[in-house]
Amino acid sequence: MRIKPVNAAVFIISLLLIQTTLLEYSEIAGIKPNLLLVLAVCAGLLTGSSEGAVIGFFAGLAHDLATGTVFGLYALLSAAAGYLTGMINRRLYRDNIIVLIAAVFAASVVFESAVFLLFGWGELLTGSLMGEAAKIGFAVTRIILPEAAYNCLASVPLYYIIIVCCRNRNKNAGKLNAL
Amino acid sequence: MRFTKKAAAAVIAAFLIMIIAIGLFVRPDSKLGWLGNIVSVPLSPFQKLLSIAGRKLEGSFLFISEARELREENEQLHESLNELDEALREAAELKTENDQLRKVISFKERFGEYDILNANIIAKDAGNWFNIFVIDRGISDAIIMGRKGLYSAYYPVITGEGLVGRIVSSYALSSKVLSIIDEGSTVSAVITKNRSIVEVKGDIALKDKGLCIIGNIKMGDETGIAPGDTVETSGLGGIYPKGIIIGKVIEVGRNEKTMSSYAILKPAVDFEKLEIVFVMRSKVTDDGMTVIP
Repeated sequence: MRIKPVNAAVFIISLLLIQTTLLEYSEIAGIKPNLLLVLAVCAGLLTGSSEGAVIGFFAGLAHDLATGTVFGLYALLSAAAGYLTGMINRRLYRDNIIVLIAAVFAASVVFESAVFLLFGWGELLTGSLMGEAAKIGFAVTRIILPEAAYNCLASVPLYYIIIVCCRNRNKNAGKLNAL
Repeated sequence: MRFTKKAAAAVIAAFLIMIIAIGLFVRPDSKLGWLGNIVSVPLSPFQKLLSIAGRKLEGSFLFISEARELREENEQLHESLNELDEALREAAELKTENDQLRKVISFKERFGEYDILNANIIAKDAGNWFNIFVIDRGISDAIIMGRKGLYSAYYPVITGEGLVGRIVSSYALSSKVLSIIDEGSTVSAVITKNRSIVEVKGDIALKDKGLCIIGNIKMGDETGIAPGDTVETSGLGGIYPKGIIIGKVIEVGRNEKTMSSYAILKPAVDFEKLEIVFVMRSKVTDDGMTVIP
C-alpha cells in the first residue's frame, strides 16, 4: 500500500487540529492519546520504513510547530518511530490487529520515554524537588503507560480510516489508468 | 368671737410654724431635707406613669391630626424606595459585569508602562508532557520575540486573577504561551508577607492538578513560608513585572535527601477553565525610551 503525499498532508493537518483542540475533552486522568505518533506507526506498518519515516517526520514537525518547545524533537522521534515500525512490516503480517496494537504500544513507550529523558535529564541529574524516584515513577505510571494504552485504543479506528481512504484512492487511480 | 379667736390663734400658730419651717428648710445643709421624701418617694412612680401617658397621648393626638399628611408622605417614600431598589439592582448588575474589566483596568493602572492586549486561547498542548497553549495574537499585534525597538522582548500573560505565563514564540497570527505550571517555567517570586525571594516552578507531577512548586528552600531558613501565604512576582529577572499575584501556598513539605524544603502553590489562575487571557506589551524599549503608541 502507498499513502500519497496529499493524503498524508491531509491526515497530518486534520489530526494536528483534532490533537490540539478537541482531544482536550477526551482526556482520561489528564492524559490524551498522541494521534500524530499513532499516524507515524500506522504509516510505517502500512507502507514500510522509508515512507513511515517521512510521514513520521512531517507529523512530528507539525507537532513541534504547533505546540513544541524544542524544535525538531518530535520530528526526529516520530521519524524514528515510523522507520522502526516500517521494519516490522516486512516480517509480520500487517493486517493483524495484535501486531498493530503491540507496535503502537512499544512505539509509544519508547517515544514518550525518550521525550522524558531528553527533556528531563538535566533535572534528573541535579535532583528533582520532589525526589528523582518519585518523578520517574510518576512519569512512567501516570503518563507513559496510560498514554501508550490510550494510543492503542485510538490506533484501531485510525488504522482502518487510513486503509479505507488510501484504498479508495488507489482504486480510483487504477480505474483512471485503465481508461 | 370665740370661734374667731380660735381660728385667729390657729392661723397665727400655723403661720409661725411655717416661718420656722421655712427658716429650717431654707438652708441647703438643712437636716430636715429628708422630710421632702415623705411626699416625693410615694409619688414619683405615679408621676412617671402620668408623664409618659401624657406624652403618648400627645403623640397619638398628633398622629390623628397628621394622618393624612403621613399617608401621602408614605406613598411618596414607597415610590422613591421602589425607584432606589431598581437603581440598586441595576448598579449590582453593572458591578458584576464590570468586575472582570475593572480588574484588567486596575492592571492597566498599576502597570502603566504596559499595553494590555486581550487574546483567546485557540489550541492546547498536543502532548502530555508540557503545558503550552496557543493564543490568537502574534507578530501582527507587535508581539515579536527578542525585538529591540518598539516593544521589549518579554510578553507576560495574565488574567484578572493573576499570572498565567509568558509568550515563548510568536508567529504571524498566533503565539505560544508557556504557562507557569509547565516544567520548563521558572518565575522569580516573593512571599508577600515578608518579601523573601523564592522560585516558582512547574512540575510534571503537579501540572495536571494545576499546581506549582517552590523549591530550594534551605532547611533552617524556611523564609517563614506557611500554607495560606500569598506569592507574587518579584520583578527580578526582567521577564515579569513586579507585583503580579501568582497564587497561594497550600502545602509545605521537606525533602530530607536534598536537605531542603519545598512548598506547593495553587495559582490564582484556574488553568482548566482558561479561555481569555491578556498579553502585556511593555512600552519601554531596551534603550529606556517610552513609546507612544
